[in-house]
Amino acid sequence: MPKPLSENAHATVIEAGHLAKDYWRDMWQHREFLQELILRDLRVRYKQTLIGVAWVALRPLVTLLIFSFVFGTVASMASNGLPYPLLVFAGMLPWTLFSNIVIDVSNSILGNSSIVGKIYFPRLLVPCAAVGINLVDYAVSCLLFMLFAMASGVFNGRGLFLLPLLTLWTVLLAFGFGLWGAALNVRYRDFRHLVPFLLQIGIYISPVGYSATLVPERFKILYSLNPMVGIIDMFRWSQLGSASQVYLPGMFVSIGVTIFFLWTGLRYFRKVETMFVDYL
Amino acid sequence: MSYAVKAESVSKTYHISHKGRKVTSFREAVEQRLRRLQARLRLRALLPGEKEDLAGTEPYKALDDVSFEIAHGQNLAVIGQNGAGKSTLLKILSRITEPSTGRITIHGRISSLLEVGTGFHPELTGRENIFLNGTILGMPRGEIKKKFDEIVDFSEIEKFIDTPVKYYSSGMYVRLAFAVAAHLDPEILILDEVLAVGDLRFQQKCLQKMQYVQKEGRTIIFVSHNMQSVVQLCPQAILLEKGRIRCFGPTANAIKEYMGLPLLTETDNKLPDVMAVFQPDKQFGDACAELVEACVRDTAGNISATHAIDKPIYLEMRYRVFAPADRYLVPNFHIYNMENILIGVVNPANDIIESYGPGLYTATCQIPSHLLNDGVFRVMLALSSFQDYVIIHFSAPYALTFEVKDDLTDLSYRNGYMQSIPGLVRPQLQWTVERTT
Repeated sequence: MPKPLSENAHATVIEAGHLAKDYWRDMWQHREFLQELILRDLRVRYKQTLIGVAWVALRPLVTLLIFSFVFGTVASMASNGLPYPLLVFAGMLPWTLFSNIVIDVSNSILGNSSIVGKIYFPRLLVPCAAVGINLVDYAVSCLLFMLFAMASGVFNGRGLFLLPLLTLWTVLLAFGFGLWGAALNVRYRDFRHLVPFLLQIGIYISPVGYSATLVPERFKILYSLNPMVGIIDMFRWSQLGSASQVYLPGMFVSIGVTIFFLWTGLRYFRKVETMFVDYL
Repeated sequence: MSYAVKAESVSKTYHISHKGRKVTSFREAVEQRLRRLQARLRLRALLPGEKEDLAGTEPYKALDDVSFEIAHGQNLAVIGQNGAGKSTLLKILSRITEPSTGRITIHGRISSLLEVGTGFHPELTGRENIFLNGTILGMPRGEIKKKFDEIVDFSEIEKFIDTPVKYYSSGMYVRLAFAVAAHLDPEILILDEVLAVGDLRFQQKCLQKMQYVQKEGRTIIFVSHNMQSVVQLCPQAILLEKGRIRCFGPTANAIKEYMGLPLLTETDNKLPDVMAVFQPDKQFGDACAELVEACVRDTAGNISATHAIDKPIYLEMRYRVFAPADRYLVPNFHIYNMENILIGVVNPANDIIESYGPGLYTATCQIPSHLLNDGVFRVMLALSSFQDYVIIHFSAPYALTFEVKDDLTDLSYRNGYMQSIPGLVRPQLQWTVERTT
């Protein structure tokens, strides 16, 4: 049974620079592709051994305990009346989301090189898919955190509506950094080793294990150049209530820095994505 | 719209660094930037070598001014030697990479299959991989659902559909992958050498499916080294040579041209793996004997890596014997093709081998003309002895590599057939053909 050729099938034009024209429409047309990539990652994660899944939970938990002990008990840093582990937990949540997305997005193109080298699709979908699985992990952690906070009696239900916004902010920031990483990873193979190192520094220059209120007033603006400062600050304030404070000017600086990295990350990724295949 | 695909002077240029490599490490790139910044801060002109990295690259045209047009329902084969630009053309057609100049216009839904099982994940089951792979190849989810049973049926692995594919045999893996691909529903299908995998029966099944696809009015663009499937599938062909179209027309003509091309291009000649001489860089041997060197010679005694099929080839191995051996040392050559299939082990006859004393020896073996077929062969050198028990005094794997070429000077066994003749050996055997009734 011969199939009629679609009469008004649109013509595909291939020429230098043409991909860029229909990029966003193409992204939308490939939405099932994105869905399937995310599903794949979830399935693979789910199928990993029990230890594999436990490991995902264990790493942040160990960091949480160590930070609580070192900063809270040994260094006895101020916690504004909050239970110290909870203060650390509230910092760890956005930080873990951030750092995992940065790592996964950075590795996404290289990690999917077998697909990237063989099939056309808007390359941006691969980093997008890398975000998906981390959101699931994050959601589980958030639930745990809320239970923990409620049990300690410091849960701030009114701040709940800010949670999606803060999550989005973290994701966009991490995505921006990750896009830089993904593109540079393909181009320069040793960049891969730099990312975990930078994140290792990041966890200490962000108020993860301590409260940002400890930073001297004159350094605050400078400190806020680290966009995670604003995010973690907001997160503690909104979820744990008035016991934490937000430094507003710093928050705007953080937002500005986020937009800067997201924008430049997207620009750089789009600029070099057509060359990925030649480097894989 | 009279055509399915139209390419207008498509070119793809790569920049190849003279230094032989690109800057691939971040450290180097940063260093380079810093040096440039430093140069900019001082006076530009004072620093020579600053523009070095642009001057140091040389454009390499992987595709050069390629134009063609294919009508709907007309299959096209792309043939040519390795490095002729076939993969580049396919990659451009599949939109994986962009052309540097020129334009291609495609009417109709297009799918490309540069590999079977793109995106297959070993941890996922056959079922999950069908959906993953199907989506990656551009099938809508609903369509995969609709065709699911048909795909599983075609793959012949119903029983294992819920088993992770990492437990599949390679044959099962390929069948499943191809089953998905065979159910794609594009108007134009771009197909790389994917039929080369899988067992013969399944290959035929796939070819039949392909032809069925063609009967439905689809267009297939097919790259292959397998001239038989090219002839079977495509009425017309493009022969690429060094990025340019050498011939575009009926498949038979293109194949004829192709067979006339020298098998080794200039760049291939430089490849280190065609080695007519072997001088060991480490010691091969034991207390009894050691390998000194080996080479491949032609009838005139010249060392050569390329030999005409109608001339004998001489494999020569020199070795030193140390001790007055109580054992009979037997030199032997193991001849393999490039796919590592052992064609044979050859050694001298019994009456040549006796208990030789210490000294330097040269063993030469003549491979008669018209024994090995066209192709590249590799030789493992060995010296063994077999009294009471086997001792291998040395063995040097892949020490020599040589090529046998049919330069079409001897047509006496071709009967007018001018294409490549398959097989590892091509002896000219004694035949009788007579009318018996």
